[in-house]
Amino acid sequence: MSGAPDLAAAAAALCKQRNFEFCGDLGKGAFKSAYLAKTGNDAFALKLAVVSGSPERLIRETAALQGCSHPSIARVLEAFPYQYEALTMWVVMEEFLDGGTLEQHLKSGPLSPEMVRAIGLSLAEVLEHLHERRLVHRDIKPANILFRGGVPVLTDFGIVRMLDQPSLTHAFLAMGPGTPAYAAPEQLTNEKALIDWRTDQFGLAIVLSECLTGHHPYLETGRSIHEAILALSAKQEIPHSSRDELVRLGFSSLVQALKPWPIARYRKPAHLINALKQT
Amino acid sequence: MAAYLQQGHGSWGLLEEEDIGVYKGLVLSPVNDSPDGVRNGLARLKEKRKELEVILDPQLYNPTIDKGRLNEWDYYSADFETADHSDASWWSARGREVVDNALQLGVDAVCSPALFPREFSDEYYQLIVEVADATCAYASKNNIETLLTAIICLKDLGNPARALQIASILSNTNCERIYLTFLSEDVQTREPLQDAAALPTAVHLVRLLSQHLRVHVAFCAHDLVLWKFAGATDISTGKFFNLRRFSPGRWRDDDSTGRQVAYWNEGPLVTLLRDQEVLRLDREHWFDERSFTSNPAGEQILSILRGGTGNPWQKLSWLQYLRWAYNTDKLLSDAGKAEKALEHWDGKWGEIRAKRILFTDRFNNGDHVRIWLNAVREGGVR
Repeated sequence: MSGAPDLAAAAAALCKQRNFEFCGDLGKGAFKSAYLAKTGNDAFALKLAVVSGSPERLIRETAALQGCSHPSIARVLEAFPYQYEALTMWVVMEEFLDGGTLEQHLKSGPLSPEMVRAIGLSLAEVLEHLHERRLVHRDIKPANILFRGGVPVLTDFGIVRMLDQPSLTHAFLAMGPGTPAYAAPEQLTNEKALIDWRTDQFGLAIVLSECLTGHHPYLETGRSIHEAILALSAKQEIPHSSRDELVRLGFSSLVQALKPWPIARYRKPAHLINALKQT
Repeated sequence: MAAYLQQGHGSWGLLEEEDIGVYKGLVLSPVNDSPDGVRNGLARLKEKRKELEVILDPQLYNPTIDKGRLNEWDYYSADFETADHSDASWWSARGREVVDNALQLGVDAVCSPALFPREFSDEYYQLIVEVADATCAYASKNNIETLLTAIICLKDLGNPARALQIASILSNTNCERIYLTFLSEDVQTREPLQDAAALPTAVHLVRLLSQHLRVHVAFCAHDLVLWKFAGATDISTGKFFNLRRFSPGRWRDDDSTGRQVAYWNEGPLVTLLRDQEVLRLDREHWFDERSFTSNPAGEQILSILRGGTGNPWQKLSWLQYLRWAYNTDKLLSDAGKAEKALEHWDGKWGEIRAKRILFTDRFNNGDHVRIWLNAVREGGVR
């Protein structure tokens, strides 16, 4: 694809077509963006992503997602393919969450262990809910965790899967071009058969570690984020310094959740939930 | 920890024999027995062994080569030879039919149907997990347990990381039990597994899986010591142990009557010996201090051989081997005991070498024990 598509124009045109009020940007990426829109007084997030192939899988996944009902999963109001000029897009209308992203919250520093535990338990329950439906999110990161009141809510399901370059989100770009900072080793090495709910477990564990310590768990003194991710993709264990820090903070559960091979992580979501409850 | 009898041709009477030990259960063999044969056999057996756990292994591994009596079973569908065997939904339908057959027979558990693939790829392992989970979903509604069947090719285990990859895929199952069979295409009848590169990885694989699942290693022979070391809860073996090598050769074997030569099971050497070799050891006073109380068949065989009457002792040889397997499963309750046993057996082979004894089969020189010892030491610390 040459040049970034004008997603804002596409969103505005869609709003006009469906009689929605277009209220501006929520977040922009190269091939996907989110906008605030309203129908009557009800605000919602309008997410557009460029689709490169057939949307059949997206339709199936959206149907599966619409079957989910969990307070920490963003409610999908509607999803459909949309043609704008030469571009085929996938549109998701999702509940609008006004509590900001976890990424924004982290800008003011690490969170307390109590808060991290509460976020971790809510999101581990989400993973359990998804696992029961054989769904894998694959893109758990602070930018995709929003808040409804004080409740953390996971968003952006299935969006990344339809992109040609799934890792190129602005969160990754902030750490270096193409560095998938929240991906599990099996995602980085493209071992598709190894991807299951434990892939999300790893992503969640990175997020929670970062909430606790303020840095990626593979980072250590003298190592760049790029080098950290290379170590992760080579299936190395987390550095001793991170392991010790997590244990000291009462989160040895994250050490297991961050094991490079899925077999060494928690096998079932209930095991992760129980471990997170232990101090 | 338990030993199961792997049924083969004409194996029904074995569990009624006192001398084979108290096997916890049996794994049925539809290749050898029709549904009616199984029904009758179970009815008789259950009168004497009510607590016996019965597992139905549908044995759909390679039926185009030798299906035996498989086509008498309902789950062996008419389109078996023409179906797309990479289609998970087709296999899942077979899984439900296996469960239906299991219900009719009143068995306790089923092994999920699994094929014998051309390539042991990640996709193959993903497929068998999907099939097992579909089988499990249906079986659990009917109070039947499901064991995820996985065939592991030793040739595929040359790369140590393969254990982690395969274990990661298989442990994604919803089943709580796994039924593993190690395939070795290069090993001939009666030869022990000797792949020095693959066996440490195989040990590691069983160790990894045993941390999450109840592991049952099927079609074992003397190598059961490796799997006990690695933490396998259950093993199964049978009187066809000398055909046990799970290889294409097994399915090409024309001798469907199961005729076989009698072999002496020499536990301290973890090998099988011919009658003349037993007598040679006897002349060297090898058995002078041996107690046969824990395996009485040995004493009876020795008496026959010493008497030189030529009386048949094939059934005794089965009992002797099966009792050894039962005793060994019970004895090797942890990794340390298994490693110590291997060290002891390696020492016994040293004694054979010191006595300058050579057994007829060239492979029968004790090298396998050393390879196994290395396998547990290497695979045990990865």
